[in-house]
Amino acid sequence: MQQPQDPAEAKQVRELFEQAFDLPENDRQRYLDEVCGDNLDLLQKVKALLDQAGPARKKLDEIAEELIWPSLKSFKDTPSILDDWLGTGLDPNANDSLTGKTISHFKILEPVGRGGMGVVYKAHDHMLERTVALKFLPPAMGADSNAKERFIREAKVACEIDHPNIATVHEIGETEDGQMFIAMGYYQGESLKQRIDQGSINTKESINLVRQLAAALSKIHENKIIHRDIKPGNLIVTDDGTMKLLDFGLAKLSFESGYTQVGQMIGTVAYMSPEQARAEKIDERTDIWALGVVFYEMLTGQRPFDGSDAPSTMHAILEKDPQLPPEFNDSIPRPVQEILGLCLAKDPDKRYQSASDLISDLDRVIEGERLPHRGGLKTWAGHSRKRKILIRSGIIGGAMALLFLSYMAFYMSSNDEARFVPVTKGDFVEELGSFADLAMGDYDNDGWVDLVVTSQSDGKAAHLYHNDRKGGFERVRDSAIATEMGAGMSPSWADQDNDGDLDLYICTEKSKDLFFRNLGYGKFQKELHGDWVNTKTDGNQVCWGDYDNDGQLDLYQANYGWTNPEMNSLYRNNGDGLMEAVFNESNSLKGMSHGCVFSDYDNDGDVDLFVGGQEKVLFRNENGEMTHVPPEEGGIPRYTLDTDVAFVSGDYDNDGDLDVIYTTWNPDSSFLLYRNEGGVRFVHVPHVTPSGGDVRSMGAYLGDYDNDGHLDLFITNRLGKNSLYRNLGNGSFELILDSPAVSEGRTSTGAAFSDYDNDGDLDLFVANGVWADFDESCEMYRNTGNSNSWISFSLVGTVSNKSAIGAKVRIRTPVNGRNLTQVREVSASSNSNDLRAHFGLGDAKVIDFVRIEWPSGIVQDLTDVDVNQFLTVTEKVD
Amino acid sequence: MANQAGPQTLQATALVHEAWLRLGGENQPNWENRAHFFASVAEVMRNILVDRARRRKRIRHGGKLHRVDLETTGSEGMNAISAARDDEFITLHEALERLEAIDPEPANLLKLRYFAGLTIPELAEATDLSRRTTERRLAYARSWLGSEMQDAMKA
Repeated sequence: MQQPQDPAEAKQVRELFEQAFDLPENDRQRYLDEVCGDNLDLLQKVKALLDQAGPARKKLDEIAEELIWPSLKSFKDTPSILDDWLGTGLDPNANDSLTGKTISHFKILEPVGRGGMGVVYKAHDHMLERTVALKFLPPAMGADSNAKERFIREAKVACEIDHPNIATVHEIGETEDGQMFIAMGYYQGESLKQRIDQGSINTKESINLVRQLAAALSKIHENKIIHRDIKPGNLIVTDDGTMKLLDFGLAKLSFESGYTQVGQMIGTVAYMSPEQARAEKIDERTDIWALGVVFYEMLTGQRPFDGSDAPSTMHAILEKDPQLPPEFNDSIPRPVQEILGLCLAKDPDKRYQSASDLISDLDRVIEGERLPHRGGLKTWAGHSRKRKILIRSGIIGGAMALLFLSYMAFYMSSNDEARFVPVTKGDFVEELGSFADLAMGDYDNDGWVDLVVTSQSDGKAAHLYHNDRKGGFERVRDSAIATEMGAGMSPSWADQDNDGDLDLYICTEKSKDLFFRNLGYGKFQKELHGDWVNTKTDGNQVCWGDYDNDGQLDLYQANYGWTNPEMNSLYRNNGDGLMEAVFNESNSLKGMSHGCVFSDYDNDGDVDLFVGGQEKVLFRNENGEMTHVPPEEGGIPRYTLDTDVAFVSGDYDNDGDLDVIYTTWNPDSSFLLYRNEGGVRFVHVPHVTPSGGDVRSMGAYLGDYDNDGHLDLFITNRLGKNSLYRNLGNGSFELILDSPAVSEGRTSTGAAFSDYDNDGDLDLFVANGVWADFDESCEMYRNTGNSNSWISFSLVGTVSNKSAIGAKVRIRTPVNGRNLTQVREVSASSNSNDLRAHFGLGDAKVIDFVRIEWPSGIVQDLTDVDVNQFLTVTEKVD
Repeated sequence: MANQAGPQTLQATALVHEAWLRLGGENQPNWENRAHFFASVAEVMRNILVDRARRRKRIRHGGKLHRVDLETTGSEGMNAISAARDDEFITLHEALERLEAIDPEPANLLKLRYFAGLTIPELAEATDLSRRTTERRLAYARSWLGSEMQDAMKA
């Protein structure tokens, strides 16, 4: 069936296709008959496409699996290939369309290399009977008439420069289809990059080569040209040892036109001067810096400023004093080290002011003379640095701006103090007990969060507290929850029966686990039926999550079993009020589990599972199947059995995926922060959090208590003071030692961040006294707040479970001068807060974009949302 | 339920994500950049693969214009891919070019899905569409191409 080739008709066909696509088979025909009417041609086209859906999908998946996806693997094996490809859009191995062709008076012989700006071919100039190098500019650049004009102007200047260390530019031209090219001298030899890849170059030869480079710079600077892109890849060492500088004038153009690609920029960052990195105005001294970097690299085979990624490399350029690798300290003569230091001064005023000054010093070294005395500039560490970061020049290229902003995002943050004030009056903080854990939830739907605390001792009941809406809680004594005796460990609120109010599950240590169904109006009834409340397990923690995505909340429970290790429990909610025991890979091993959490770490819309105390820690959910992800495939290795405790997930680095904190009561590690890298793997990042000393961590809680847009961290300690970590917004945390919230040193386990007084900032609750008979009181801290904005979402599922557990809220808006993306996942585990999604927003006045991803797969977007409000969003079915 | 991708797809996505991370991408907490990156990857991937398929085809037909080192024909090697598959792929590429010309949006989704390996939720994120719309539009692109390919193969 010939499909429409005309955009308007194609759009019409597509719209009908999309409408009909979701309908059942029978309704499709009816729908199409109705909307197409007499237009049988249209009807047939849409129908043909609908019929194709299955076979076409099969065919394309086949092609992809056999031919496309295996090739993506090469990116992983050699990311530099990708870097190169992105720079040029060409496969290094690919045959090309130009070889063998004649363009103007050039016969193209073969591709010889690729530069940032395009492919270079060896060609024969049959008019002048010489071999040349032809360099083609990417068509994207030729299309911009300003860029083209500038290119021609610069190339003309280049044509006039004649110097033994500068590649000769013969002419510029344009192919019939408008592609610009330049014809340059062709030099037999290799690039300095290829040379350095084989290892460092001896001092004498390095000096000789760098002197030639300095001579080339001196010449182009005379002509008022700044190269801007001095790097080994742009330097050719001919077979007779002559250095040739390529590409001047072009680099500038590529920066200004914004053509330079991100992938390519990254390779170039290492040679960037501090003023370039700051996107300030640059002059000739920028080239001197880059020469210094190249010189250093020739001498040592390494780069002086090298990070694992672009921002960390930029950080090193701006902040770190270069140091020679120790093995070169003695072998590289002092005067040469001094020259390096004078090239690599952060402040351009402290650098060589001209290439000719540099040449004079190099000549002195070659002649064995002493360098002239320059006060205060001889040690590298002595160079002064500008720490202030500001953008001075108006125009910076797209890729440059992007890198610079990511750098800013990485190393700058705002600071606006929020304080915790202890609340000292009220039942919750005055009553003594052995409180194991607490859970925050608004069980009576009055808009104010209530609170339940479990008592570990036999013969004691959980304490239920109702929010009095006046800054305190009153104990509720006449509830089923408050009268059921049993050694309760961990409570968790969720609307198990989707009837619009929160039910409560409490796993208990010795007796049967407890479930209290909310009958409405805050009245609870103990559930008597089903395995889940009639099995004796040593339950320590529990988490709710709809792992099979059927709109009904399921339950996972971590069972400990100190003398007799137990298997964990998983109960599937069948929707009829009953929970059915399920056994799969996630609860197939005996162990000593303290903690568990459901969280969608791989961003595929279903909840994955983290479990402590057993061999396997991470399970990926694939259509309801839980599959273990071993550490070598990006999972999390098990920490020592029995000392590992619990998990919390949250996006501490605001990169869109949920990171995980794994607590352990071994003070050596105390807790392990695993950064999630794109949902692909977890990387342990111990350097991100300073050590809190001798801390035996139990729980970890994430919440943005200072509303600055970055998740802070509270750690409970079973043997000493708790820890509060403030997120600096640069990927790391500082330890807050002077807050009352970390002054007590009781036996703490459970805690939560929750805005109980509905004033827009997170307050803090801590349960104390676990392990029977410690008889301690709980703690509660009211947050004094600050001037920062915030928003708090309450989600109501319709297709998804009513509590919206597993839903994600993503917001995107500028905060304190940076475009910030934040995400929260609604979670009901022992280490979660309450079911609201609270965000800090710094100085934001409005939220540009909000996206809610419901567990059902439905996505709801909101734009221009006001800050400082409690917003309830109900899942919308379109 | 939301995830209908097979293990192979997941692996492909993981690879591109990893490439993105290794290029320093994790410090750009901005989906637009990531989307831009994936689009570049998809485009580059497609060009490379179509070049390779055409080259293999030339070699099969004895049209050796240049000496071609079999080692460099790509990770999948010369023999692993059948002539019919290469023909299909080239047909797909050409049909995709036509779709791009008349209706770029579905074409773009298809490219990100198949040439950069993005999953449905990622596609939705990258294009600011809802997941359902993403799925429907991608299905449309597939059907359109499938239909065109079928016609071309018959012809």
